[in-house]
Amino acid sequence: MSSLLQMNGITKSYGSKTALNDVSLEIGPGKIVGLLGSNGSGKSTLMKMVTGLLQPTRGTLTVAGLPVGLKSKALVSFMPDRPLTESWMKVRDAITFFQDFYDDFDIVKAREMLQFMKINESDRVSVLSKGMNERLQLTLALSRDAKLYLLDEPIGGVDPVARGKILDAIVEYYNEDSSIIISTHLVRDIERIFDEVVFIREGEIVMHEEVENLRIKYGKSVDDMFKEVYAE
Amino acid sequence: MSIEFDNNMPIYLQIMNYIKRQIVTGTLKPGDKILSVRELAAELQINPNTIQRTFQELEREEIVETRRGLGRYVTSEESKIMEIKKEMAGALLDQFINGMKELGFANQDIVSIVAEAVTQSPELGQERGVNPT
Amino acid sequence: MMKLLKYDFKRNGAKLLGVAVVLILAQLSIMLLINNITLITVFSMLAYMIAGVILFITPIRTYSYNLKAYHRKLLPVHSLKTIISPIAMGFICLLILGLIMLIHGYVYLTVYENTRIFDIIKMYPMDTIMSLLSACWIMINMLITIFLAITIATSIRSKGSFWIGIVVFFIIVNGLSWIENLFFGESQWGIFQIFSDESNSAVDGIVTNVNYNPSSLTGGMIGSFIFELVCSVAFLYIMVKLIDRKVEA
Repeated sequence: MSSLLQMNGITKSYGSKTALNDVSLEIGPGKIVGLLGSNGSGKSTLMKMVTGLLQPTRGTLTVAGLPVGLKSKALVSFMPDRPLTESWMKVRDAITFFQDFYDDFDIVKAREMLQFMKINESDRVSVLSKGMNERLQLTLALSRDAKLYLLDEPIGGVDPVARGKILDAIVEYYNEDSSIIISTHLVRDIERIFDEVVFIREGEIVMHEEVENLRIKYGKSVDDMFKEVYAE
Repeated sequence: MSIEFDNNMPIYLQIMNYIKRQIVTGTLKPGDKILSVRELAAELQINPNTIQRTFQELEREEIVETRRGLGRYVTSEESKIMEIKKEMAGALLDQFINGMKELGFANQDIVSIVAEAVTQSPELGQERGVNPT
Repeated sequence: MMKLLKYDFKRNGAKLLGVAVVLILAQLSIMLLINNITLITVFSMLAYMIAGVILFITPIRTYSYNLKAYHRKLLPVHSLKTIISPIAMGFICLLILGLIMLIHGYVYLTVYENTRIFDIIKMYPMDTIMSLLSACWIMINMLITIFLAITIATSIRSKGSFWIGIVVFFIIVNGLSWIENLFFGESQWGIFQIFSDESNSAVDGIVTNVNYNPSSLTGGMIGSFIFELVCSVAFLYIMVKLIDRKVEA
């Protein structure tokens, strides 16, 4: 099967500032990929480009062979760094919103995941704690049967308990034909669920390696490699 | 079930060893069904592909066998299990001998020290399963 | 489209309900507390005007929010629907307000046996219908033009894009009104005149039209309408392209 994500020479610049510089990346199906980098390294920019929230300045990008557009949006599920819900919504409304617009939304999976995450359907989205809200956003993103999932810092601001829950959910609920790209700067807690890692620094990809190969090759954990790459 | 992973080493090797140890200690018995990739992945919070790779390696070593449509089972061949035991014992011994040599003991000394330790605590020897059936 | 509309309404639900409640209370208190018929008319119209302005601004705010909202931009929904949904919401709201106003007016005029306006309407039924239709058209056109300015402003990433939007808006309105004048003469129907001619508000335009020369559908009017239609379609096209290529969240 062909790659789910193909980026060729993608550059994104804002005036004189370059957020991504000549990035080429290919992600095959059935992978959990860690997109690792410090804040401002270009992780979010890359994800937003794949989901069509940002337009590349140069280069080409396809999702499952399709250019970014209506068709690709139907295949990509994104958990961005800000909520996908509106403040008037109850959890139930947020679920209905997704169900209304995404044909691949699996309501059974969503209910199951809400239960797993201990989220109450009748709660208002605006009163959820940060951790609970992240769990809800993850539930919404993972309840779709998408081809490509993009999770931007899914364990960023949550306590260790929620973190464990979120990792459980990612491993448990993703399906094998699709791929997940997870951006994070908290490598240690999450590195065991990755197949591959992509290190991104100052808008450039500095390493793309299978995690087990990396451990064999360097005899180091991803976390140690990460620290090394970002040491300067 | 719990296992402390060392992120500096390939995870699939660690899970292989973990399952082998379970077989040797009898937690997993010959012919037992083992957890599915997904179940084990969720339980250990490990990438499913890593688990898949673990199982493939275990299958290659004929420690685990797949019965079509039924799942994966621990091999019923006692000889295989013996092999694992020997392999694990070998690894332990290597480690021990190397350690002793680093401490400056000669081969003769090591043998006598071990003999002494085993006779002094016979139940220890049994516990470790030193005398194979 | 209907789904987008549903969520545009839901987000503004509390606000719209609030407007409705306040309007009803205002009208009731005006009727009960004031004795002077002229004052009642003035205050009542004023209340409707304020409600109308709020209902007109709501779709503009909704559109500008939707343009930047991740959860809207991520949807596999054609950008044209993003534009049309808030327009439809504004249209429905203002239509309902208009109907309430008409019913209120009818009841009021019947009660006070002031039937002069009915006579005018009976005399020029065609013009009355045209006036109402043109009011709707003017409203939709205004929203499209404002949306275009917002879309252009949002497409520009630099500081001061808000002011650029305002400038663009006035350039479009004045430019088109100039062209419209050039081709179709001084037609009262052109919406762009209403924008550019400050002495002539949309409401005035409608009222003037009621008493307008009964020669009805003149060539200028039709030409003017077609011109506006073509402009609107072009604006929609530009907006869709901008949303797809330039507007970034």
